[in-house]
Amino acid sequence: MIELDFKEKTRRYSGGLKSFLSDWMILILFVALVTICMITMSKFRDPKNLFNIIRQASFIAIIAMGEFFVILTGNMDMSISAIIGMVSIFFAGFVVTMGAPVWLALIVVILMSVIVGIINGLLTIIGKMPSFIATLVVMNILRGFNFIYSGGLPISGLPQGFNFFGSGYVGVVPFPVILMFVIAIILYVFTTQTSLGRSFFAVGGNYEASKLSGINVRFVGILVFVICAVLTAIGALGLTSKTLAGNISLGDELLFDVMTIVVLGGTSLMGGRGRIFGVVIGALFLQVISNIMVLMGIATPWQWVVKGVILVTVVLIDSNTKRD
Amino acid sequence: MKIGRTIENDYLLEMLGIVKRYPGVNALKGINFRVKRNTVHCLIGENGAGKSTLIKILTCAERMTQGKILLDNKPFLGKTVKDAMNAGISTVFQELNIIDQLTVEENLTLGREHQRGGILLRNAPDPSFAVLKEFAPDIPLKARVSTLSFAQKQVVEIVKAVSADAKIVIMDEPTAALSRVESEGLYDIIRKLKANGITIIYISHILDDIFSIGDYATVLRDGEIVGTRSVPQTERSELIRMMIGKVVQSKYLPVKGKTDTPLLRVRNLTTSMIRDFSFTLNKGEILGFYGLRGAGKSETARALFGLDKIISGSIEIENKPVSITSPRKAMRYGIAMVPEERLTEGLFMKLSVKDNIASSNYRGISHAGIANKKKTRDRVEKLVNELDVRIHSIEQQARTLSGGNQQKVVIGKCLNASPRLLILDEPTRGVDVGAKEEIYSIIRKLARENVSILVCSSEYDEIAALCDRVVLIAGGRIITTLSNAELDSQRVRMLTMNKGVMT
Repeated sequence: MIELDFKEKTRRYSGGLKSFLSDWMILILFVALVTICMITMSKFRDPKNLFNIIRQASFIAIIAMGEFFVILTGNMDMSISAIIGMVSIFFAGFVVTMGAPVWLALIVVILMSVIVGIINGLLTIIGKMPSFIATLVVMNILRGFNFIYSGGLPISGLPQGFNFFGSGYVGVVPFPVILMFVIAIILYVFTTQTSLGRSFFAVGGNYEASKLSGINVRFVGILVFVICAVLTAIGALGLTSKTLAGNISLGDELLFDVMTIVVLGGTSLMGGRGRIFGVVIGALFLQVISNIMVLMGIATPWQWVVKGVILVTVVLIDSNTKRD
Repeated sequence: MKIGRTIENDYLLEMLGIVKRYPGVNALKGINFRVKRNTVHCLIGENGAGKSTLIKILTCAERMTQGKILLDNKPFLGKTVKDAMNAGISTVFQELNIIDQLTVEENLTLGREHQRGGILLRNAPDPSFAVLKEFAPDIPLKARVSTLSFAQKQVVEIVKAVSADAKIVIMDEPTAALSRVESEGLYDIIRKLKANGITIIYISHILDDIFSIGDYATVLRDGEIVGTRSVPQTERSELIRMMIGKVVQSKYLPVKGKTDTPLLRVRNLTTSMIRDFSFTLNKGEILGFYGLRGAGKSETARALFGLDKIISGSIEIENKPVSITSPRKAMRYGIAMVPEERLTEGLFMKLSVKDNIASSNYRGISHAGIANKKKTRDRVEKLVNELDVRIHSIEQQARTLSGGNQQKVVIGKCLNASPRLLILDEPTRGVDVGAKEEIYSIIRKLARENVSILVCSSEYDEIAALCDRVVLIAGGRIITTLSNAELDSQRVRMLTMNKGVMT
């Protein structure tokens, strides 16, 4: 009886149109932008171009989903660009220079990323360093190691078969796109349907209250950095497979895009609020904008300016709207 | 109660011989605090009497220096906050510990979600939902907590505490931020908790609270227990006497400096929090603003000091219209403010007393932009002496001072700017009785020196003792203005409380 009553109440309660709009603003904007481009730009609506957009967005979306978890708990991981470089150069080094089998090299670089994630987490949560500084330091140290290992030169000559990871197709659908959606669905279930998933929102929302509710706040706090590092590694492997070469500067320009995507996707920089599919849409959104600029022949430096303006706008809106 | 339980000991909680020493301070001097099963036991006393310390020891947030705790006649040896919670001791803090970004349902089940293999079970019934339904049927389970009012959030937190198998629920001044109606709602909930066999330790110095729901009241003063009384058999005056240790309340002394020349004239002042405020403040007059928290006292102060945006209305100082859009401008017009939140808004805790006081007026002590050290020292020392701030050196850090002395430093900081108008928002909150009187005499002395004073306070006794005239406000509007002679505690409380808080 009581439960029935509550279900009824549950259904009746809704956040209203305003909160619906603020939650799905990015989706509405995205649909509007794509619709306009479809109508006005013939090059844009070419199916080849559309598939290209999703494929290019997929690995960066995977990395952004990792950063999403860190930001959800109110922290920030600046080390992802160096993790990308590390995974790329060490993976190529293991396979090409040392002749290790691909599967073994995969396991080793993922484990290396886990260790970097744990270090980030330990410095931030146990060492009580601001995550911004802790991960910035880790980033610089990793860059140093990457350079020492490779001498700064790319390592090319990865086996052709590895190309499938970044450029292969399953039927007509590019493999990276499938990978992105599979990961997004798993993470969606993880964040919304599991108690561990819910604890990320709790810790990001109110650390003390989470602690008092019996959540292992330290574990959760460290875990997000590990999740971030592992997803970054998967993204890095995909990016590496496209050129079949390890490159330490592969991720140098991606940190900014990743941050933009996470914020575009409606994740609060204060922590506690965000959605996995928001991040996916954020990634597609940013890629569509890059694509349009390329099609219109806008030079790369101007693209940086535009992306910068987008990030500022989104953060300004986020910081100045009172959320209910 | 079950048969067979020994009658002679129906105490659920006994804290025996509790001593807590901080460096230099004996916060608790051997306290014996016993709480009977299934009662509402009020713990009262002035700020600094030791209430919080005692509760922190019970909830294991602080370690006691000496003493023992018996819970259900068994020694309680918890070491962490978690241990205390597991033993059935839950606390509803003033700063609520619930998570705004989650829904009510998610908050209630946080940390003990119903799950199978890590996957949450949707719509799984939880005992706490029934409790919530009983206590507050109007709070929807799926509502995001950030959309609830403070009172509703408090109920959610109480429900959460109770459903975590709490035997004792500690409430720390739970009505401090509630309107009259909301307080009544909370009393109902407390009565229901009691009916469900829960014991409540209720910390408050609001007498209405105590006489509405209390069974017993224990009064603490200076780290010692003054006494424990059965509330229904005790007079208010007796509790007050026990609390402050004397019967005589500070009396109103008309200030001689009071004039009839207006310094400040406010007409139809409106901000997002207050509507149509009109009043005048004469030179050398002490004007009080009295009302509940959230009624518009602090908001008036904030508007006058340029912190809240003024939507409409005019402000005149010495018959000249002024536009105050920032604290910087307000200070240029000779306005200074002692803010409500001393710790976060009034002081630089890590700076010295000297730097704190000097900070409000560097221009007065500088030559060509460089601060003159001797001038600074002289000025600060003069103010420290005038205000009788008890410190061993003006280089002492502000955070090491007691509440009363900190407040004097904040006042000193304001006086350093030589204001014509001094606004004090809750000037004696968190200050002990002795220091309170000293602050009152400082305020009176300033008024004699022709400074106009505006005091915002939610303590009736304070405005009655200090103010020449009092503006009563409720729900963001002025109800009436009374002279000190017209003040009557019953009437004033009725006028300001029944209107509730503006939403």
